[in-house]
Amino acid sequence: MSIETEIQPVGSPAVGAPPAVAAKCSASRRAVALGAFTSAYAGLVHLVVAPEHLGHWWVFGVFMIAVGVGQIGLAGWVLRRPGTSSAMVGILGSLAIVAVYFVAHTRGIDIGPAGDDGHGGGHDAETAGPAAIAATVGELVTIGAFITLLPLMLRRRVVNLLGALGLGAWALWLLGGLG
Amino acid sequence: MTLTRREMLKLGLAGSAAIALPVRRMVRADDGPGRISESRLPEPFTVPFAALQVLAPSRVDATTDYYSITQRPATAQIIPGFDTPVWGYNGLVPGPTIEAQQGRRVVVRMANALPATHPTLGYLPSTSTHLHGAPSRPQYDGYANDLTLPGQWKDYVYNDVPNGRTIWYHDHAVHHTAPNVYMGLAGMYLVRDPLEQGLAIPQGRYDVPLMIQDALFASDGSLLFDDDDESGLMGDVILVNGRPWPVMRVERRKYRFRILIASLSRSYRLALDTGDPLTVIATDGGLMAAPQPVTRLPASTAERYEVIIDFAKYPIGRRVVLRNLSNKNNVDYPDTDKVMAFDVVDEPSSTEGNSIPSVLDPNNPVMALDPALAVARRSMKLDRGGGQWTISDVIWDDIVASRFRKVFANPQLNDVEIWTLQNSSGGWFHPLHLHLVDFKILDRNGKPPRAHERGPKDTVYLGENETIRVIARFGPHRGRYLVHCHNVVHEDHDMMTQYEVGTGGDDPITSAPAVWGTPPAP
Ligand SMILES: [Cu+2]
Repeated sequence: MSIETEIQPVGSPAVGAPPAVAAKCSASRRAVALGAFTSAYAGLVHLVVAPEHLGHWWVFGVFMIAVGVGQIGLAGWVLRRPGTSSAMVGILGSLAIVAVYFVAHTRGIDIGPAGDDGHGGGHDAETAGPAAIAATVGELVTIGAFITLLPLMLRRRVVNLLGALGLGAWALWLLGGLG
Repeated sequence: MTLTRREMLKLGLAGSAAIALPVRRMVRADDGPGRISESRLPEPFTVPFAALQVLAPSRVDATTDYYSITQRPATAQIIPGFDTPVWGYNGLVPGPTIEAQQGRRVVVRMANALPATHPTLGYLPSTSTHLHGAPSRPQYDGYANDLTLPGQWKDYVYNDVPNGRTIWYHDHAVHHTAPNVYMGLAGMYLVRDPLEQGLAIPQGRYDVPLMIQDALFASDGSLLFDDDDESGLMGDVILVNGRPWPVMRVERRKYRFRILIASLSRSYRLALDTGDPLTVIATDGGLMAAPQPVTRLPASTAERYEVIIDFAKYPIGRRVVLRNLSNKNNVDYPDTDKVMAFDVVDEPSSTEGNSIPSVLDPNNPVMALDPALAVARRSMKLDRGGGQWTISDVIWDDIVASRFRKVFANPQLNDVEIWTLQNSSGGWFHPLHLHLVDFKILDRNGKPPRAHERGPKDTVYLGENETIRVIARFGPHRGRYLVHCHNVVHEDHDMMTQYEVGTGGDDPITSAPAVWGTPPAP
């Protein structure tokens, strides 16, 4: 993630840039805007549902707030400094959140107080609700948008990794390994 | 900002997994693993009746009977030719019957040896055991969040049942009561007392518990949990003591049947096909003052009625069918109108206890409660709101969110109160259950209670748009106790609240928590 790349900062448009770079920029700029928007949107969803999670177990609530603030912060960072670093953080961060969501709603996550076994948190794999699905769609779009900002070799590796994860998840499901 | 086709494919693989797999249960509930075809179900009245197994105490001392029960997975043969995975108390479905003598203390060492997840629903089966119909102390009452995890055990102490009665123990775990009970976690518990034992009513082998349930089966014989969008589970198979539509051989004399409706949701209206009466002698809280013959006996989940049926008037060879005429808002299937049959096969081998005394228990203190004694009147509204079943606009998650401080009412110890219970949700009935107390039904929709419910009760059927007034004395313990709909699917989503008697009672969650490990012999 050390290479700061060819993408021009959106906040300070490349005044007087040559036409070829400008064309490339407009595509990148759209990806930056889309990824930032969906990340902020997913962050908002997490903030909206946080109070409900606080009621079940404060740790879940704090986690939701941290995720929400992080996603909105990421949107700001990407808009101000679009580049490989911010794109990669956005991709890996979103992927981590999707992974937590995925495990929580398939296998279940075995933490939290036993007495607070409520909906939307706790031990059990309960089916995903509309808010969780909405946030996940946002995160997936964020990942898709930011992938296009990566340099080619890195982009290929990330896409292959995601493909493998998807294949693995479906295989696990077919084999009945998702509980 | 473009993706190649190959990239789209790979990302689609990941994205579809992330979106679809976590919601797969909704999808699966709709298509479902198919219900078993009707032709694979037994013909009604072909499976022989079986009495419930009685549990022997592990140890007995001067004051106390000690029992050991382990909740564990097992295989039951319910539908002939199929194995059904179940969870049973000691692996038995229904659970083994505990026979207690009033005045003796009972300690049940209850261990949870269930697997880490439910076979189809995937949740972690924590349990909490409620002895329904006993005024237990808060920490032994099966409070929904007083959980025993797989690998833990807990002693339940019962020494408070004031008189003989038919009660039952069943799971009460928060949000999972319905599937836990459905998997088999329910058993009967009989309390005997000298008054009841001294009456010339049928005793011994003529005193027969009947646990009535219904279930759906999948094509592999496993139990199919379909709660119809959290409205209720309505099975197409009626089970009595775990057998589908059994047939029982009886002698030409009187029998006493202790009927328990242990269905998750279904309510019944029982009747004999001969048109002869069932004579109700006891309700949830024990003997009535006087027997009540009824030709129709409405009974909903968790209610108990002891009835006497007299087979003396039928010739040998006659089959008498116990039918179910059902009630509004049940889902009925072709054979849910039948419960079981009795084949009259013999002359009586004993005529002891072959009568129905005209006076049973005229002195039950609950039935003597006078409305003039009431120091408070409260109203409770059963409804549906925000996609949940509610009690006076409260759901159990609200109680949890309040750290269990929120209460519906706070009567002082031994206060008498009148509660008006109102079902405002057209389209469904709710059997409402108060923990801790027995109550007397004062009136139903402004009219006197029906004949069969003129005895001590702890669960009352509320049909749509019905209003019922009950009176109770709140005791004998201080502490927080549950009130909930006993359609356990409603209870799980999330029709449960609590009240607190007095202040400073034992905490239901922290005063006797479950412990890890294999329980030592009691
Ligand atoms: Cu209900």
